Amino acid sequence: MAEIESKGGKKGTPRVDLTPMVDLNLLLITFFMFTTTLSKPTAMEINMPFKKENVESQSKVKEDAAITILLGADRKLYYYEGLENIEVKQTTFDNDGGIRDVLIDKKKRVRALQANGTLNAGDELTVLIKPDITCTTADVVDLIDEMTINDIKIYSITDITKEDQDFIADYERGSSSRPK
Amino acid sequence: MPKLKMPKKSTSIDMTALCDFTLLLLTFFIMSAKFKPQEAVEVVTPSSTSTKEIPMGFIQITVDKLGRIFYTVDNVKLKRNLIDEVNKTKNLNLSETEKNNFVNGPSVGVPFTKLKAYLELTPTEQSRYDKEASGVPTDTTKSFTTNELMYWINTTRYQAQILGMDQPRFVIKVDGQTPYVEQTNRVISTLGKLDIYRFSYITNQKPIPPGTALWDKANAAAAGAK
Repeated sequence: MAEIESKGGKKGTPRVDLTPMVDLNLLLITFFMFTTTLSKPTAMEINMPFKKENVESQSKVKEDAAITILLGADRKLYYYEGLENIEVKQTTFDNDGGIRDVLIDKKKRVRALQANGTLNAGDELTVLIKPDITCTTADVVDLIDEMTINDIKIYSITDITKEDQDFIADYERGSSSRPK
Repeated sequence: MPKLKMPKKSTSIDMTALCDFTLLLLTFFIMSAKFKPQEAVEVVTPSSTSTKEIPMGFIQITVDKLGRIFYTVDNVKLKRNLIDEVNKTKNLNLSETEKNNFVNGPSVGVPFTKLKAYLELTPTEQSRYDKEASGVPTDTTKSFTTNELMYWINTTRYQAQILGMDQPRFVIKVDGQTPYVEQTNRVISTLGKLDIYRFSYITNQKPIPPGTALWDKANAAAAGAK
């Protein structure tokens, strides 16, 4: 059988130029890298308060352990401590000097009150979250997330009252406190 | 001085190794690729520090930026029973193909009156239609005629019970820009009317801010695992 010889009788290994193939492979890799979902979505579980007529949870909250956060427009937060004789303050979602610091500070003070006996051990910090009509869902989710971040176990999302809406309006008008 | 003789080498590099390597990488990406699930509308979810995975066999309620509501169930068997039941009770006269379109398709966001017309469409036409779809009619009442979302949920739960399955979990996929009280709350209060107080929001993961209580907890758990 006759052997096929390359031109000139040279016995070289047959070489294929693989450059285009590598090019194509890299292109495909890039495509698959971009289409693959890298960040998996997660689920943030929440429990809404039971809306039963006979359960009046708010009345059980001790004045010193309560803080109410109102969610306003443009990611603005308004908060007041206690339930009576309140002073409305405004804060933001900023990492420093925002709502997180307010919650950490409040938690510390509730701890101190528990230690000196003003509050019982069972009277834990309770956060009432009241979203106003102007806030977005991201605001609510962020605020619930702050509860997880600061390890606050008791919080509830409730409907905003006319009174609370007035607090925001009054604050925006420049008077930060309003007798109840 | 004798000139130093440099051996003349060819400039072409052996591409075989590079080719092998790229093919290996390519195989990895093809194998690991999980394409984004087909979605009726584009929704940019908010972020949270939660690391929990989405539970299996869920009912997903999507709320887009404008507050349009889309409904789907992540279980083919349950979905088939659901459409059969809806077809029967609402007298929709759906054909087998239309039912299959529902079972294999993405979320639906049309009222019952338009469901047949919607399911007749091809997937491409459907996704085009979704851009102008009105969403599942939802309000805060307990009436099954005006609050169709409630009807969907109730029928799904009933069918799950018939099939002897665990009650499906609820996940709400909502756009961060959606007004909470006017739009998202419609879904939540509908769930509340059905005595469902536990559900999940689908979120993107965000890192835990350092120096917080959760950060300490996560570090303590990591130290304990070691």
